[in-house]
Amino acid sequence: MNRSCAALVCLVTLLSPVAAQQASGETIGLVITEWRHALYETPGGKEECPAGLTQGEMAQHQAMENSQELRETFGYFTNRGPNGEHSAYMPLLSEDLLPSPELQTRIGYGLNLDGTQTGEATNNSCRHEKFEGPEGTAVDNQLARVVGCTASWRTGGFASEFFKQEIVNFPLNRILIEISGVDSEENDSEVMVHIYKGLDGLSLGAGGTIPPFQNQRIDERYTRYMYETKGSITDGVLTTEPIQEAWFPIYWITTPAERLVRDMRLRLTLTKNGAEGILGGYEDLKIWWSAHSRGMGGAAASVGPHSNAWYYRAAHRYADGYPDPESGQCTAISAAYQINAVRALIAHPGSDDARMHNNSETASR
Amino acid sequence: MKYMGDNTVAVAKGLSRVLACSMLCWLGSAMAVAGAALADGEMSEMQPTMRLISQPQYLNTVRAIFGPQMELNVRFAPLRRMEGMMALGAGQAIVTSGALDSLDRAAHLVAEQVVAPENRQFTIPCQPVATDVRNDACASQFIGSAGRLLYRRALTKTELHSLVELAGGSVGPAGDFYDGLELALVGMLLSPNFLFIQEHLESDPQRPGGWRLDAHSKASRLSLMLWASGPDTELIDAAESGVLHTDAGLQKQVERMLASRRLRDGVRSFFNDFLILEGYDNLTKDETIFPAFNSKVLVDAREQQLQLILDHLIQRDEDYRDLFTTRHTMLTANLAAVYGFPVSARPSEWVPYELAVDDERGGFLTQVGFLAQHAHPGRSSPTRRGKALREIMLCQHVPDAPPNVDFSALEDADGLPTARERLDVHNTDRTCRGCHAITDPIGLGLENFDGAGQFRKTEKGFLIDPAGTLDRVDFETAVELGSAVRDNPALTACLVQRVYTAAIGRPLLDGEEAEVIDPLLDRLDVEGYRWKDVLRAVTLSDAFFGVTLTPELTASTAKLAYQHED
Repeated sequence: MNRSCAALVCLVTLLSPVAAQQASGETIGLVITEWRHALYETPGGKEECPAGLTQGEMAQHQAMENSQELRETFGYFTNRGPNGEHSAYMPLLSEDLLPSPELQTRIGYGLNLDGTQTGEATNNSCRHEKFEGPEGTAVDNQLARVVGCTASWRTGGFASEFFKQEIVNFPLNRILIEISGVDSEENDSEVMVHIYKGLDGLSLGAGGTIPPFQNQRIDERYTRYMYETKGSITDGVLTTEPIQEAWFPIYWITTPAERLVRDMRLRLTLTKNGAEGILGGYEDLKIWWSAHSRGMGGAAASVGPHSNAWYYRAAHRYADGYPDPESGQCTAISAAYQINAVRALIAHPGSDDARMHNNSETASR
Repeated sequence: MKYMGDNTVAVAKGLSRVLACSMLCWLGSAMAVAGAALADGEMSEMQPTMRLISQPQYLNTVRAIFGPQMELNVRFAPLRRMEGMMALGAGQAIVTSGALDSLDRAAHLVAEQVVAPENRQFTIPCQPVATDVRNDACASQFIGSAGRLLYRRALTKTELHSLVELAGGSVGPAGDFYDGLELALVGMLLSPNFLFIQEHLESDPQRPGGWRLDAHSKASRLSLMLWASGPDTELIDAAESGVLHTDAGLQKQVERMLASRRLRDGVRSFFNDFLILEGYDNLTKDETIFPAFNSKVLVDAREQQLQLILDHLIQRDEDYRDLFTTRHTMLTANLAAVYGFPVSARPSEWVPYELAVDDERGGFLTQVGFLAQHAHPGRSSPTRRGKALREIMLCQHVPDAPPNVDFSALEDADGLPTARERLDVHNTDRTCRGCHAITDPIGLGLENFDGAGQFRKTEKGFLIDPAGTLDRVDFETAVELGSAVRDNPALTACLVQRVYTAAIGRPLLDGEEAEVIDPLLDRLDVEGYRWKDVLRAVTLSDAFFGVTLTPELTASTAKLAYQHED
């Protein structure tokens, strides 16, 4: 068997609805409809950002003595390196003259990724400060310290709202979650969770809402974005075991890219028509910056507004996961995203079984 | 028919008011011809039957001639439904100035596409080197070939000459050769010779003193029924050669047409009419109650009925009766949301789907297309569903509600658990009881499906009881209701009657049911009701082209009313 055949067998096994249904019980399909930074926010950010919100590339550029000259030579506010280097692509060559306010709060949303209560260093993490979650638990979300005082990522902000539209409009952002073997949606000690990239668009219903139970096909071309893990449901909340490396496709501010979330796990409250909760894990810094710099590093950095140079430096300063064995510098940063999803009818491709149906199977969906 | 040519040119040159006048003149001329014939005593039993071409027939004809890429984003004025079919109402169509506007726009849209530079090499049989000069030979070739298919007969010399002159006269500073062809084509598309299907009688040499439809009328009747389109070249050839008057020639043409893919167009047109699918034009569902039933589902729900019928009758070549018990259905990704299970279909793709043997759904009546159409915007309606089943599938008349009906009892029925209890209120009112006893018991059989066609076991927490009786046949479930419908003799009688009357363009006459329909049913009861068998039986029956020389037939000959709105 050659390698492509081996991959095909793997794909068929992964996609087979029979495999997904081997565990007894119901199957819950979900499609993610919203994905944004899980941020603790007060009106105007007065509590968590007492020094105000971040300023952007344009403000940083205009603060420079040679701003006019740089603009005339290179044309863009982001070209503010000594020789006009772009601040998103060579962030260490740009220096900010204006300070970027940092998050000043102990309260935050996220998941406890490192297993500690105090944020001390472990084999897999660097020392960091934990947030106090809404339930009083210590949680990790260092990326919030980078983006939390930027208007763009806060509720109603440019990037947050823009991406909300992009999730609906671009199937590249279609992430499907399938929970199988569900004996009870309230309490079930073991369920299987599969994550797929979807293929279809989302239809909007009355009032611009996304109606549940839309048909969503799995994009079988991308086994790269397919994962399986175990989970449990307690009082209607699904908690999954971590997936070591979870890649996600993303079409972000008009730019196709990827995310790599290490130790990715879900904590979702299941509802009749969907689910909401946290997707957490460690964002790989290189991958994150690659996506961020291309999607948000250009004009969006002025709209945001944020400084590319500061974001890059802050992300590395706050990085708390996956320390480099030699330098000790962490290469990933804990992140938490607020996920909203609606229930979906997930269609597995290439199976004739999928075209046989008995209503009794879905009557209690 | 000398008057035709002049009329066509006038139509092409003029605006819709000229067209209106032209049609009036043409109609007057037609009637005058008939009158003259009567005066001579030559055709004392003959009345020319005329029908307005339907929108599907118009589009199918144009696409057959000029290619499937022809688009027609114009909605024709709806025809009056008569005896359950718009095909019969076409014989009494009133062509208002508004309707003429639609036809005028359609003609220009088609003509523009035909002569468009990207289409010319496919639509026009000759390509002149110079386009700024007349080319009567090429114009004649195009107009002659297209006109023969549009008029469903060869153009007369006068007609052809007039149209070629019209096209040639347009070549000059204001237009080129193709502008001329476009003008001539508009004229043909607006001509009554195309828009009205007129049948003619001729002396029957096999029966001295008797009459028969002429060969062109036979060809039109055949193709409009089987293909919902005008005859193709081969059929017109058969008509002109006289072969169509022979049994063998007719049979050969019928078999050829039944084997053609264009049969699907005929199926679509007939069942679009039969199932009253234009009802979807005004159908809405409350998305706050049925969030899954969005505008895309609405479009697919209408189309589902036709897709299922095409799959059942053409693709699978199954018996019409089994449509009501089939486990097969046709689905899209949009419809999957209503059915509640996923399908691996692309967004615009129709896929065949087989329901499990013990599924609660089964048969045409349990498909979303039918269930949603015959329901209220926010809830189901056993009465509407029962009425639709009676009137559409079984050709039984359910009287309209009386004007003095008292709804107060129903308005107070919200506290009652399910539709069955609510509709029981009708039994307390003598004015309601009569009709609801006809509709509700069978409509309640579909109560396991809500107003959007979604399956449900309960209503307001109470278990739904779908049991009932259809014409003394008991059923416990919707699937069993389908079986009861399948075995109801009125089902096939209704279908055959609708097919026959739609094909000949008029309702049944007194005695015609016993003389024509009953023998067809006797034959098909043995052969089975596969669509091709039904069409074969009807089109090859003596009655299909028969001329019934009775006073009743004369009196019922199709009339074309014309209303000129100034």
